[in-house]
Amino acid sequence: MTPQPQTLSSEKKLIVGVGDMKVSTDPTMPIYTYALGSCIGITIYDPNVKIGGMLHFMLPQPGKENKRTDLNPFMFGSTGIPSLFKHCYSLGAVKERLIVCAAGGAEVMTHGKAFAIGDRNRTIMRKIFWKNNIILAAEETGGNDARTMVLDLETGEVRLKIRGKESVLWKP
Amino acid sequence: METLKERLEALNQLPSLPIATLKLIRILGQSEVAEYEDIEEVIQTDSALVSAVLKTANSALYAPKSGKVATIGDALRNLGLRKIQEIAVAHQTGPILGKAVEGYGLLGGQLWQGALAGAIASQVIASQTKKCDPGEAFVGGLLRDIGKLVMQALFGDRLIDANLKPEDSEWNQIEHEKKEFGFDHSEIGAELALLWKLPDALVKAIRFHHGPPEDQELGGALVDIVHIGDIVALAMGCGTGIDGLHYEASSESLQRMEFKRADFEQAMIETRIRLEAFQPHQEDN
Repeated sequence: MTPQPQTLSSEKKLIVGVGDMKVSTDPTMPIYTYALGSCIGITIYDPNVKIGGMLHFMLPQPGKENKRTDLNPFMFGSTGIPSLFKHCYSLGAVKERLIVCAAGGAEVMTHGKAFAIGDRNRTIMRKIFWKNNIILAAEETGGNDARTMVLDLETGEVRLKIRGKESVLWKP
Repeated sequence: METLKERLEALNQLPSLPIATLKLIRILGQSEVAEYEDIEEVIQTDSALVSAVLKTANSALYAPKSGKVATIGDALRNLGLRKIQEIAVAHQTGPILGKAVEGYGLLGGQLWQGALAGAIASQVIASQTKKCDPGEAFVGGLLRDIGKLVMQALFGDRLIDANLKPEDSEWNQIEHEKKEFGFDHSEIGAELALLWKLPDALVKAIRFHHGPPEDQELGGALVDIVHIGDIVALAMGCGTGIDGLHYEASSESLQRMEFKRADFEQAMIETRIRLEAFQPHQEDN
């Protein structure tokens, strides 16, 4: 019912929604996620085989109170991050060659009590990476701006768009 | 000096909702007096609305086991007044809120995505807190940012220039709009809601969705809930443009609604799940 954001370009692309993940072996189609708020976008890319993927997770983990068992794993860092790596490995990516980048984790402003969703998302991401000996090649997280993130599967370049301005987060 | 109302009335192309939708919102704003016949009559005046209601009533989620829903009367009996209102308002606002709003850096579809996320979040929070009617919260959440369309219509290219001005990292968008234009999108949105003769509670929800007043005569549960729904949508990145998350969350609203972190996270999860019903996952080519 709701249209996806329209873009001016006719470029073919994969779109990652909120609480969603895409992996691909097609270097001609970049992977996009629009408007990361407190969510975090993680890209991984193996330059030797041009395989990569993007996760857009929303919360660190399902709460203890949550009794639902049918929850989409990509909504959470705790389940989405391992899934992103496993999917790319199954397509032929190799851990030692992976270039890993992250963006997002912004917060709404507050003078009082805050839920710090962005901060908690960043914490779980770092915890999982630390435990698994994964080093971030580039990261831009925090602040109050929304970010669009793009992974170019041909080159591995990761770009961000913030307040209409594009910048390169990582390039070879 | 021109009043906000005068400025609105001077606009050639005012954002407008179909008459049938406005009538539905007004009738259901006084829910205790709404009659099925009145609602049926309003829906029948709009053929697009009739087909939207029948399509939803016959969808996998709502279709009765006993057969097809063929009339609006059957749909009303099966789904109830509030559900019909939700379908009607969401369906009819799509073409209006689906437009690109360049002044806020929103591509086509992004304002509506934010509107739907805020609507569903407000509805979820109303059900969680049991402090106001979930149907009313849905409509309040959906229309809360209607003022962004008015700002675009009033200021055109000047709006994006103004919205790109802040260079420090911690500006507040509402204060910034007031400084640049003398008023902000929530004030002008409420003025439009008044012009549309929307129920008073909805006008207040639109007016104060970025800053619920402490005075509960001015604010109230619906205002607090739509404000928290807005924060949920912002955290999810839905409808965020160049203004990003530069809005302040009211800790007083959270306290008044006794809304804890676990409730907030649950609202995000439920919103994400229900958003899918409105927005089938598609790849954009």
